[in-house]
Amino acid sequence: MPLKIGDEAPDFKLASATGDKRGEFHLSAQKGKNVVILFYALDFTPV
Amino acid sequence: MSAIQADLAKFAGSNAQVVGVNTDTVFSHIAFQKSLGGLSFPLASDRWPYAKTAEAYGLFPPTKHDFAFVNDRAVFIVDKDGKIAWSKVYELGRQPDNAEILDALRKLV
Repeated sequence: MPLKIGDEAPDFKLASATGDKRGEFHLSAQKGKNVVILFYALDFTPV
Repeated sequence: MSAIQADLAKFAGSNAQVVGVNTDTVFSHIAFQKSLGGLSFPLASDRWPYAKTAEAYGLFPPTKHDFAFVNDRAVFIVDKDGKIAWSKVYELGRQPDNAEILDALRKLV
């Protein structure tokens, strides 16, 4: 079932990198902020 | 990703945290960031279970292209209460339009 506007966003907690720093990104830990999630295809592609 | 980085202050001005997600490893993300001269937002690794997050968002298996192992390209805005506020699925090679995303963010504040 596709997600609709107003639906609870599925939570996720993933290993991440910011610059050369490793960390973890946890969606539900961002409450109080808007979050822009960019799903992209592959690293080292131009877009 | 470089285009997003260039506008990152505008995203921050809309109280928005940006995160990139795909199925590549953290090691790949570090090398990719290096190749771009560094990004100041996280790239997250939806690696294992493979593409589980993309699947939860309806982007895997892909429907927009024929690369079976690659999630569809999309942008979701999650508001500060954790609800989906805006989303758009793109053709694989298409760069999302920052102005459009920022416009949607402004409507939330």
